[in-house]
Amino acid sequence: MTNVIIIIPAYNEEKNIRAVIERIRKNIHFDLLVINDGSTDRTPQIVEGLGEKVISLPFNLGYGGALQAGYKYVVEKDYELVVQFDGDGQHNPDDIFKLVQKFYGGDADIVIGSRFLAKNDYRPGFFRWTGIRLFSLLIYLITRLRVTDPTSGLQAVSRRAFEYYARKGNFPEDYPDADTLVQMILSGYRVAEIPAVMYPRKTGTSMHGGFKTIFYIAKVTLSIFAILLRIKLRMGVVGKCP
Amino acid sequence: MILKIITVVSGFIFISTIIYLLLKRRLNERHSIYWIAGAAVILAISFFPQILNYLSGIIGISYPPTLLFFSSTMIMVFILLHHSIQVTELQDKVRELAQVLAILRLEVGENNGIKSINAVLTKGEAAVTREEAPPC
Repeated sequence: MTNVIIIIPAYNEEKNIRAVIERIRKNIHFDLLVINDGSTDRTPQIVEGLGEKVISLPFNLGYGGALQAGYKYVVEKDYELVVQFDGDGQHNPDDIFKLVQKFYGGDADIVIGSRFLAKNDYRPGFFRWTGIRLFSLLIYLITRLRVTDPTSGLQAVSRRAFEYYARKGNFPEDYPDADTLVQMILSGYRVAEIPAVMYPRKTGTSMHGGFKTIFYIAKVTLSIFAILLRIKLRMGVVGKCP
Repeated sequence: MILKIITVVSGFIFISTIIYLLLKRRLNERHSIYWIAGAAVILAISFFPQILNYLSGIIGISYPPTLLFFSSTMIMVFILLHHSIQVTELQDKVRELAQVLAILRLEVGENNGIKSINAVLTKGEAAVTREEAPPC
């Protein structure tokens, strides 16, 4: 068992998952765990065929729900650090080392791989871009901390942080985003960013688009205000016991 | 008179539907209480429409049926809100169950050598998950 574990949430990724794992395994020998989020295709069989560990959810919970299942699993083990990695081939395995290095350099509980700090071919759509900018600004206004890519799925999360995430109700079921980060920063967790490569998706659909994007932006913004109000009204201050 | 018959009959149909669902266990006691109370109000107003006139007089509503619409809308909004709260709670619980189930399934498999493809997997401890409850 290694001190670091890579967690890959995967939902119907049979076209991508094999390449993703093989590329990771070329150089990286950390433990690896795939959370099969109720896939209806051959995703779990492919992963098992590669000799990797899979947790299969009985039905689709969504990205956040799958990740949280992973956190619940590692809480029971002795891992120090979780690296979240997307199963769709958008991330570069080399960035895993950079995240881990940054973490062991000290002073960070959460390290985010930011697509905006590096030169990238990745170009988000207009609404997605607006959303990310808006969230970034909100985080800055509230916490005075510059987080350029709060939506990034490439993150390293320390035990201190994932023990908090693993608890019921502490992690969003759809996508952890600026709201989760604001909550963590205000509860005293240290967040840092490093440049990361982000490839455009090869197959499958992107997570956001159209009305859903607008709804999503509204939801995260509401969630941030709820966090601020909760703190203001001392309704179970986040991260600490009431 | 016909109006009265219609309202009384629909009140009875409503209340018997609730009781039927309760007996068939498609509605639990906790939920059916609200609906039975609602049906009782409907029946009371159908039998004695004067109640409505009397109450509107007190509140100062000049057209009594408005009171009926207003109160029924309010009650429905509250019941809907109550249901949204319950749905949220159920979603949380279902997610928790699904996650714990998935983890246990992996651990049971590991301990019984079911997923033996992963030959390197060794785990000294038994597949007993520690207490999930947070300290607070």
